[in-house]
Amino acid sequence: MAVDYAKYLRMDKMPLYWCPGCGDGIVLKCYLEAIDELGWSKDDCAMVSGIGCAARVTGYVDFHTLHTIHGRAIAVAVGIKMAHPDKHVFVFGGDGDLVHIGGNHLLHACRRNIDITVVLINNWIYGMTGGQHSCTTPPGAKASTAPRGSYEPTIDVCKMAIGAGAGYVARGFAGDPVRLKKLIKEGLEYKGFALIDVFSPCPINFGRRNKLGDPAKLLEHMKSFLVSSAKAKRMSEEELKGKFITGVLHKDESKPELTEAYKGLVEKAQASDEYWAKYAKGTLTDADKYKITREELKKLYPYDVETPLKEWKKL
Amino acid sequence: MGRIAFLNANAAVAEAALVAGLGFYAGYPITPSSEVPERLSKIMPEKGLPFMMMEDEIASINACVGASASGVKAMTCTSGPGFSLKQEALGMACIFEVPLVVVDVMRGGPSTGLPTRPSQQDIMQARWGTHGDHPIIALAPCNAQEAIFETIRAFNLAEKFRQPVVLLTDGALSHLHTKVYIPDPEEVEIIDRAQPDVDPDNYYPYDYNYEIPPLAKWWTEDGKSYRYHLSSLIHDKTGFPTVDPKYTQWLLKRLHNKILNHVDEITKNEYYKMDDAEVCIIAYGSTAEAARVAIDQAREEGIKVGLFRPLTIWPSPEKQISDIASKVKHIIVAEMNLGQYKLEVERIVAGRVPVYGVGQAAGVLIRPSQIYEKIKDPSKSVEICLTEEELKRFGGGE
Amino acid sequence: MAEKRMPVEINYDLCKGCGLCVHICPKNVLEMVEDLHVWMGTTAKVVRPEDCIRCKMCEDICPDFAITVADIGVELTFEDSKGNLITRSK
Repeated sequence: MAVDYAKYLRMDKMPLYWCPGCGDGIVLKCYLEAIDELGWSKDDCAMVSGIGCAARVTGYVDFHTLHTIHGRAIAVAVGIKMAHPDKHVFVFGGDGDLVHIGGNHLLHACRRNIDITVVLINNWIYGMTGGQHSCTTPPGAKASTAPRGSYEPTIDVCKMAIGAGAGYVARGFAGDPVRLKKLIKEGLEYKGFALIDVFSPCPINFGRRNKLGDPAKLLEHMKSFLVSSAKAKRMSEEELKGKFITGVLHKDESKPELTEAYKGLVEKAQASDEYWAKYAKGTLTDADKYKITREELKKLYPYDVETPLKEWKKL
Repeated sequence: MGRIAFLNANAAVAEAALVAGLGFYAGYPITPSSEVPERLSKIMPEKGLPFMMMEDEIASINACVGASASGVKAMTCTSGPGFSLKQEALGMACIFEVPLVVVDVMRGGPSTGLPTRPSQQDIMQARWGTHGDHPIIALAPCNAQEAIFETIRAFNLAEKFRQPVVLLTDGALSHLHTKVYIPDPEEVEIIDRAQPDVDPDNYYPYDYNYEIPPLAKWWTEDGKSYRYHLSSLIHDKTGFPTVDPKYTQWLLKRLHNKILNHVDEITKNEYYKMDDAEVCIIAYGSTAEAARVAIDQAREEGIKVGLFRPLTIWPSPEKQISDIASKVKHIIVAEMNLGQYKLEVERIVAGRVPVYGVGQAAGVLIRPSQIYEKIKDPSKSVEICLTEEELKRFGGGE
Repeated sequence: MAEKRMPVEINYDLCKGCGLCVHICPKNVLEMVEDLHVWMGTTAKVVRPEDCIRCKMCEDICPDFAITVADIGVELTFEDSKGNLITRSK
């Protein structure tokens, strides 16, 4: 049962624009496979992305797509999700886009546990702008802005997300697509904030500067950083230093989802007999309203300027 | 059949937004605009609408752009510093061409400036705050009742022209409680974005043969789903990035002509005692109230002076100002900044008559007496300011 | 009657010659080949189709949707590396 990817892709925009060996295409394929298995209709899916290599995904998928400004994709997605709670909203982005400049929005989206699925393509570098180092560039690795190796410590995005309260946090690897698809699928199904941190090779802008220009070699190099969660349990703290654990790292079924919590708030507000509550329920009576005369309104608004009132264009 | 209430302009903007069909609000607290989200946080859940307090101003305007692109009317409200943070996303809204209302309750600047004091120092920022050539519409009400009418007009202009609209009130106006009439949604003319008549498969978000292409809602009431791509890069009709030079020039000109071809429809002005005026005062927002009193006083002494008040700051009413310049002896521009709109007036007047200014950015309202003195002697500087002796006593002494 | 096509097919318009599929194939079915007519100048090529066990790892790892692998159980007839016609369903 091969997946018919053409159903989800804007085929007229193919071929994909990413470099040979880049992991973005693999992540996109696992993603579409997960959606296909869930049987979601592309009419209900909206995808937002910021600026960067990974952010070009929205151009290829045939959903409701927004290609927004750098770092703010999650904030835009929160707006869409709150306005349409019953629709699926996804965010695609790179480590620079979502963690470095957009970290604040990621942090608070985790805290709110809003039902958005964020696929974070972590290629350790700012790829599109030419390979500058980012907050995930491994110490010692060369980048266009770290010619003698990056000296900055990195961030474990998953630990940060768990600390901030995200409901579902997982880490996958572009070199292991089958397991990555399962992680993404579970993330999509989870009712709440799902973050999937995917290690993805960037042979052109990262690999070539670190003698890992061959995509296969870079894939193996990345694999050396990764430890499966089962194996990690048996390893000591010392051995785990500098390693990143893959698999489902955190899943909290009990945490309330933001749009559900907001529905509760709306019910409480609509139970009151305030003006707009009655207006929404259509129970407004003439007693609630005030019939103003033209002269009285003229006193309130004595200027020789048009009003939006249908009845009195000019007072 | 509406409601009478005793509100300040902030609360009035909040109520008027709901009358105009607001569907989503995202904001961030900032003095002096916090009454807008405070009131909205109470009345929006009543109407079953999503209300968000985001983590920063950048997130709040981006959430609004997301909600607006997906099909609901969105608004965000802030003051000076927040308005600076929102500029990049305001530019995105301009290139997305999505309707959006951004309320800027102007306070003393620059930087943190005078958080509790009024000013009108964001006029040029409203026009050129975000980078690149972009069209903008900015309105300036002068009191709470007009803030209601202008908020409704802001939403209508935004929906009609697929364009972010900036509503410029100020710190004093927004805290002045007055009696206002809040109309009912049925009572006022409300414009929704034009929907395309083509079906989803051959719909283009930036169709070439429209000056204002219809912006399809993602999920229409009758169950259709318009899937398309909006990009913050220069894009072709399908919304995909393009770098074609000819097309880029054409697109930017279309964005500007979308506004400049309809200036008469967008601008809205008030002439107060201008029929036989020899001196014209140009003022907007709450400064216009003081100008009105000064004009009445001067008229009693037989000075032929009148007020021209643009309610639409950008695009500026060039025809009207130019027409006034051909009739009056000189123009006085009164505003709570060091002369920002004065530059625009001078550009339009182009030296035909002298343009004087009452440019007081002291964080206090301009008094009618100041404008009255300016009318009497235009070359006199009437702004309150520290004099040389005071400076010495204030701390400049040996 | 068995269908006449290869168990694994490569779309030369999409393949960018990155070499991931060659690296990951457990049965060494694919190889990188210089080819001036192809987009990137080098492309992956199916050289030993008879060894293909249809595990789909190449299809999964390919970043450009350029490889499609037939499902297990589909009867296929194709030429193997030595040129003679064989029929396989796995």
